[in-house]
Amino acid sequence: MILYRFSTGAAQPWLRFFFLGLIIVAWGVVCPAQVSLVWQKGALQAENLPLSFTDSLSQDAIEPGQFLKLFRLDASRSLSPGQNAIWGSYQVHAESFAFYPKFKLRPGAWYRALWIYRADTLAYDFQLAPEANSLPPPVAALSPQLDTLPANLLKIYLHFSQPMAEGQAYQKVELLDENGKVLGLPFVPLQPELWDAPHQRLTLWLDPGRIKRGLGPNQASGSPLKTGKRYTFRVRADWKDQKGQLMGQPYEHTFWVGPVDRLSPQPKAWEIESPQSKSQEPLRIRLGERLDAALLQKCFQVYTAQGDEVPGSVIPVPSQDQWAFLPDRPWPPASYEIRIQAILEDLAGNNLNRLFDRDLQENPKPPQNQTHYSLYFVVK
Amino acid sequence: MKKLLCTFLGLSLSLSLVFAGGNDPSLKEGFTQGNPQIQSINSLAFGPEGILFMGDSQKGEIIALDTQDEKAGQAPESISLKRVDVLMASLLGLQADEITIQDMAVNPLSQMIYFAVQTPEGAPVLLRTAGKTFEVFDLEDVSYSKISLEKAIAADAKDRRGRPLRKWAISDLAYKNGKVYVSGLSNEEFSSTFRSISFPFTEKQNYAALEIYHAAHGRYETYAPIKTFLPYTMAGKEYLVASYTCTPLVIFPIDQLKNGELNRGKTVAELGNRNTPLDIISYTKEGKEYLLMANSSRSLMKIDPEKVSNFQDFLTQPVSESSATAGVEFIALPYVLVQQMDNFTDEKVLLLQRMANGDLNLHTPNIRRL
Repeated sequence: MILYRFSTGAAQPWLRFFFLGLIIVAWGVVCPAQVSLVWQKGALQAENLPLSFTDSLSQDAIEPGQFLKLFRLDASRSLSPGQNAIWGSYQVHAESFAFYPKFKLRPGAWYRALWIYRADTLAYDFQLAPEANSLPPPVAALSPQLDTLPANLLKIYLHFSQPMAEGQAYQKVELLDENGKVLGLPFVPLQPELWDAPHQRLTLWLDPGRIKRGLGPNQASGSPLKTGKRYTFRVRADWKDQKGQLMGQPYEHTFWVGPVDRLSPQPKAWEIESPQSKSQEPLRIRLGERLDAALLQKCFQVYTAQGDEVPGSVIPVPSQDQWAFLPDRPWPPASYEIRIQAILEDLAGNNLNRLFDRDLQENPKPPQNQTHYSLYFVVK
Repeated sequence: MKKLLCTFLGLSLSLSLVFAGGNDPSLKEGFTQGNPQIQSINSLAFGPEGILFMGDSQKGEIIALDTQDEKAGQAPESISLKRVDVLMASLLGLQADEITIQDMAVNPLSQMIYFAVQTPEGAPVLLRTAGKTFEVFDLEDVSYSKISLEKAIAADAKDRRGRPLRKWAISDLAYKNGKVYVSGLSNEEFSSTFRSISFPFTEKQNYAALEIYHAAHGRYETYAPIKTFLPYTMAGKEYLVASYTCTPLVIFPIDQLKNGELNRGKTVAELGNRNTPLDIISYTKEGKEYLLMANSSRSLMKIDPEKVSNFQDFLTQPVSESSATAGVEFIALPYVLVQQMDNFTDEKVLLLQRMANGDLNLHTPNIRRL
């Protein structure tokens, strides 16, 4: 239990000595008036208040920051100039006064509580316990995880083992050439960053202005990836997850760059492997090229001739050149339709309706406007 | 003349206030009271009557919030705040590098400045200026109206559980003449999603999903998401001035955009390499209007809209110099690393700018300097 009282709000250096090595969940500080400050159960409590004080307070009349203030301290355990007190709500009890921060405080961080009543100021610095059940450091993985990618590759997905903090992505991903030189801005720094809902998958676009023929960035700097060259995609180790935990280890994936892909996926050219009647074999479609992993998961539906959807699940195929579907029940002998949504893209952003960029002289065919394309198969 | 106009406006305002007591023609008539249960705030835009539109990408909703902030004279005539990220983060018990400022909007009635900020856990917070610092705008019990973009995309493709296949990250939002305009990026397919939604929100909506192509040097036709845009009137006609993620500045007449057809915009400029457009606003200087663009890695760009509307051809000349720009000419103004921008008053614009010493400052340069 450490006692001190001061009026300037700044701890004297010798007092800090007492804090070293201590992880404190709840420290009480007692002032001569017997008021004590304690952090417990997500609230900062000023306790042992005289009834005459609490009785005089009206819950609605308390101004934010009146009597009790809570501040986050920086790495050197001091306050920044102009720093605001943390926002939250107040509750008056019989002999105590409680402050509830609106947002969860950071485990392991230091805070300063201030009790201000008339001429009395009471300060209390405390550290929140680091989270007991911390997850291991986050780990990243790239998709497509392929050895060769097209020169006009448009987007990549970064998968993480746990939810990541937003706002750091474009400082933490790098593309290196074969000499290990970090390339300048190959990705579009999009605001907002394109995360999925759980914040575990980030979509990155290679700069479309540099990939699209005819645009200024393409003419000035060319496409970020050159056919025949080798590149390394790197995720830096100093990326934090939502709990502030660093990755600790970098992630790298090296790949070769193949030719450009300027053809839309052609469902008519795909090969369907029909399953055996009454079996529960997966339905497989050989796509003849690699398509976008996320869209492969959701752009296909299988229907009976009566128009009922066949229930089942898509089996992820890491090579991304097949679509595989496991039905919930064995296949009855019948004719089936596979409906493929037109938004399905290849790795270069060409979808079933249109190309990513179209040369009007070489390819006068305008984009299609279909919602989906259909293929048919029979289970015998 | 100006005096006459002011008197007329004053009179109309007084009259409207008198009549407001009876049949309230307020846009807030159908608003409900409570917690709008917002999961993210990616984009902000002010409408009339102190209504703040907020784009929630996580939930796929647009929320119209009654800020009850309609009184003029609440804010100072100019703003100069240093290290605003420290001021904002400390309110949330965080450090400056732990928050993300998603968007900024000025209430044109009060000049109060609103910010959408995100915590590392992804919690959305609405902040606004309070004297020389900021305060949290508590969203627990507010008057609001909202519309689901999931409904808006009901006509689109669905997955096998009936969920729409498109998930948006709202990239920009604007209100003009009874319409909320929204542009979105998908985190899966590379597409342009642009919609106009009537306000006040109703069940029956015309959600035009528009795919807008643009050309490069008359030879290549391409298709990309819009990053930021401005509904803007040029020569009496309503246009959308839109800046794409791949940098062209494209205009298209709003009344000619049709759902399900090949919409072609007119490329009027390219804004340079290794750059992402951030914001577009318009302002009037000495009786003449200008467009002003903020960019991720270029200085502010000032564009004469007359040159935009008179620009006849798609870009035809190839661009050869590194980071070169082409099309309608623009003037580069000496403001770099502007993160957010909005109109402040008729005389001032508001910039959230990263300074040379690394500080993130908020200030209001006079348009005479622009």
